[in-house]
Amino acid sequence: MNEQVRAISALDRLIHEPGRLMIVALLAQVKECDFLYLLHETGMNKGNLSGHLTRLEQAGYIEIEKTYRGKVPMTVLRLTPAGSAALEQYQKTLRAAF
Amino acid sequence: MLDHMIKKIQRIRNQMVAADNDPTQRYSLRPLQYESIDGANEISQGTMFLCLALASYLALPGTWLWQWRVGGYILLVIGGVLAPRYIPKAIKKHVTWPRTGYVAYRNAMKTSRLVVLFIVALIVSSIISLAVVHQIMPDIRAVASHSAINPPAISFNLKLLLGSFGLLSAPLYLMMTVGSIRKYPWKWFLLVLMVLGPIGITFRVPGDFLERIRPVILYLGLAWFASGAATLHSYLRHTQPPTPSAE
Repeated sequence: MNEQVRAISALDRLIHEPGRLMIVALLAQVKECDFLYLLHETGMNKGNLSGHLTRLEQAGYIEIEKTYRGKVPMTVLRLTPAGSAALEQYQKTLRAAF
Repeated sequence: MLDHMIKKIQRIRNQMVAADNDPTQRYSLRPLQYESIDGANEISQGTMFLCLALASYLALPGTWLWQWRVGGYILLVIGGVLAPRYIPKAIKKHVTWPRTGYVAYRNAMKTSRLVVLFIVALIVSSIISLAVVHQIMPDIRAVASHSAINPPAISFNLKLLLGSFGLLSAPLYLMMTVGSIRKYPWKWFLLVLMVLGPIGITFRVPGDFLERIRPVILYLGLAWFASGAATLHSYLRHTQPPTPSAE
């Protein structure tokens, strides 16, 4: 098999899923954001988004902080250095494959 | 040698094209677009210009209600200075974040680079300012030496300086609306009006320097404010009000 084609199999499957790729790509551009911002930007429903965020948190790619804005509960999300490195590696692998 | 340079240029060009076609790179524009989604920065800039223009109208000579005018003048100047700092914060906190979410942006540049950039900008702007002041110094002296009752005729250099106010504010407008100007093409038309308006006012309105600068600042304030208000109106129409169970 060609090396270039084989590079596709080296893609990080956790990030490769479109929903999670959207989340990680958006988080990579900001310092932090809340759940509502991701909901608005990705167009996913709350259940889907929550599921993807849990998987990314379990992998150590994002940090989730539960806090309050006044009396309203707010979930703040940040990309960790591991998440940043994983996205960078994913982009490199994708470029190598195409 | 030339062949090597051509190959290098081609390689850089190919890299730029690849980055442009890379879907993951396109995401980098999203936070920038989100920053200008509500028109908060345009409203704050417009408020600043409007406050300063109205303050200059209150400073016109006359004895009627002078205590109120002095108080109003001070309030308008303070409002104009504070508007760019506090209006965007207030709009983001009370309108944008509850509707479409909170975002904090990372610093694009390191502090040391920002300091260098600030010093370079300070030096360049000082040189340009000194050159402009040197060029129009005779006109400034003429304005200063005449009384308000008998103001001098405005020179062509000063007219040119006043007329270029719109042109000077155009890059700032483009910078603040870079994320939303694709969505709202009417902003291009407003940009043209912003550039041409001060030229028209300067050359059509009679009077001395101060009599012409007031409507120019007022015009720019109205243009900025209208742009921001229209953007905010569109944002409010297309987003839902906050619900108690957002998450």
